[in-house]
Amino acid sequence: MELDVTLVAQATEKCNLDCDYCYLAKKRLKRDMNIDVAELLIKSFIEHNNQFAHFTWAGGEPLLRKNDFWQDIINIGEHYNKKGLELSHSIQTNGLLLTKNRHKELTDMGFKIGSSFDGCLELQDLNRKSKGGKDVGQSILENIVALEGDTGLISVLTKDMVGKEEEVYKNLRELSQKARVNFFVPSGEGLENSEDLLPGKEESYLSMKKFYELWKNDESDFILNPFSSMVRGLFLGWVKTCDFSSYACYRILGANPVGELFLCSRSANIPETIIGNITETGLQEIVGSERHQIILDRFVNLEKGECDGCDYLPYCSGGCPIEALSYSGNFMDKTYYCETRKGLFDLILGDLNTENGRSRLQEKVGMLE
Amino acid sequence: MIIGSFLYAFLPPFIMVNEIIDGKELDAKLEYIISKMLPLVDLGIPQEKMDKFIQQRPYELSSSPDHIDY
Repeated sequence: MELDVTLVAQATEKCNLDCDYCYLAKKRLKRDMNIDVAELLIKSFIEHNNQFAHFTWAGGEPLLRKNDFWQDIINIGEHYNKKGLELSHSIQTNGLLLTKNRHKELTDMGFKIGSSFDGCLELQDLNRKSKGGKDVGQSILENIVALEGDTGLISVLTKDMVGKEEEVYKNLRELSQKARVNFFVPSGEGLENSEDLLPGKEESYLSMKKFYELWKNDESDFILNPFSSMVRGLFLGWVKTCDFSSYACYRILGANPVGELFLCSRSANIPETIIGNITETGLQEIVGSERHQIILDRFVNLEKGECDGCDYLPYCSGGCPIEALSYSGNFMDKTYYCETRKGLFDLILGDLNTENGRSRLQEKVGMLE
Repeated sequence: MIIGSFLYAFLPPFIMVNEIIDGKELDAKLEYIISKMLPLVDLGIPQEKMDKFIQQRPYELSSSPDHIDY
């Protein structure tokens, strides 16, 4: 079975922020990706795939790279796309350098842009300060406001966000057409600060429940994930995001600046999750290798073990394996947020089992004809 | 709560997993997981509409997975 795979690559390990929950370690190498490595990655993924080639460029802070690097990325993709694949490039930034002008330059090249923003200035400045410890939330907020909704946003659910759901929701909705609330994963620097950042299991459920209800009752077209994806998943059979699906997770690889490929972009500081190096091994040998298959093995393992009998396993796959590794130390465990996710699926399913709720949610996720 | 920087040093032995799914090749594993990914059919949705969801399935399965929203 030939499956197209997607790449999330670190354009650089350097960053202009010092976030408490960074998935990378504070003390780390500060390498830029050489354009030759980028070319090899792009060429390999395009040659491997048959329908699409999607590249997400992250970091570190990718906008520390100059525009000539980004223009090279676009040119390389077009050069190798002889098969006419559906080719796309995205950049995930912390927003500090995302001025309106820079956004226009990059989107004119063809990039889609997503930014991080923790939903309100208080939270942003609490956990996402500059290298010198300065509050930079206002500058980031001004950049995002200037884009007039033309960028996706990601917020991280930490202990500090609990109780601020209404304010966060209102702000995300005003700033963007599409946002995501991610679970905090204690990895890298975030692992060192996890006591302060990790919400309790009940707290995380109640907070996500509040976000779900705000989104469900919102008359606007604003998309908030993971809820939109979760609802669609119950209609279509699987949640397409990588933190809910081993099938999606298996098809998204991470790469660091020297071309080492990882099971996940989130695990780029975990040597045990390296599955190959594109400068030494062809992608055909890496995709589907024994080390890569552990993502699939985990599903089977969970089905026979911890998740035996759970109706939601096809829709969550035990959650993000990096979440599991971060919390319990065992990649093969189900995630810390298992009960939170189960509770949310119970809520959604409860709504779907009423006629009004089903119509409402079908409309929210565009499943009406 | 069991969190410590030492945790990353340990991933489970890969061989343990391979024993559980002894003999299954990659395609078999993928097909098995895909076979589990079926739409819920007890939502009171008319069968005609459910059939349309199921018709979308091959496209959904082959399309790009989501990592980040833009």
